[in-house]
Amino acid sequence: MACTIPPMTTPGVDSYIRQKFAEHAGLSEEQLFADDVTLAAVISRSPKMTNSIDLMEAFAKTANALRKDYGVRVRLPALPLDTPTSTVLKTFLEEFERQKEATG
Amino acid sequence: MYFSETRLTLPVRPNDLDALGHVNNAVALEYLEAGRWDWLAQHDLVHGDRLISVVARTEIDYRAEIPRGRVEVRTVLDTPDAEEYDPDSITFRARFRQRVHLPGAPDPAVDALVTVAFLDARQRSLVSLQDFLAAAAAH
Repeated sequence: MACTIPPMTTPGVDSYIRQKFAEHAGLSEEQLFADDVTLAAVISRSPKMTNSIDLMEAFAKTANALRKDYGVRVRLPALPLDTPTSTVLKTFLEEFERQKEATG
Repeated sequence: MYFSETRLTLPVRPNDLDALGHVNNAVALEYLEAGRWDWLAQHDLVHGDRLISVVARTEIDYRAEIPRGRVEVRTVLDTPDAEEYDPDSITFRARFRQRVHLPGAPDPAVDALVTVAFLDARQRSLVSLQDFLAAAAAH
């Protein structure tokens, strides 16, 4: 399933999030996003993850990188392990735009 | 100042010993837990009822026998270290380097890396190290 990128997304943020999350998961972007795998599958495939704590840490590192490079603080809500990566990416982008607008 | 190493001296209890007369491997984990509680106390951090820490992973090497007597548990926050730690960022894991020493012995009898995570006990969801430290410092 293709990811539906929210309208009015800051250029480059989508690929930045994909790249950073892949880096912290120890997987390629293709492995993460091509088949729209679930978060449970991400944990299972990742050489860096053994449980949901490691998954959250990968999200946190991606969010920390966004804050440093774009100046926007993003906090993801708790996501069930059957959430597909397309939904995670969409949520990340929506939160990014919401926070960006809120902080002006 | 970042979090410094703490040292806790504990007596080896008679019931800590197994049939060989040395400390049982499972008891070493209790010594490490006592070391982490002491680490919190030494840094004026109070473990509350709402935000709690849980052990997510333990890597442990048993390097020498621990006989009857006393041990010293040395605990230091390994990750994030002083350079990595940013109160404005988010991290969900903290890793402690913990070593159990016999009196006067330069090398540890037990060498462990313990990864802890943080939970909101009411919501049963993960919280960050930064949230945990803020709550523990406020108690």
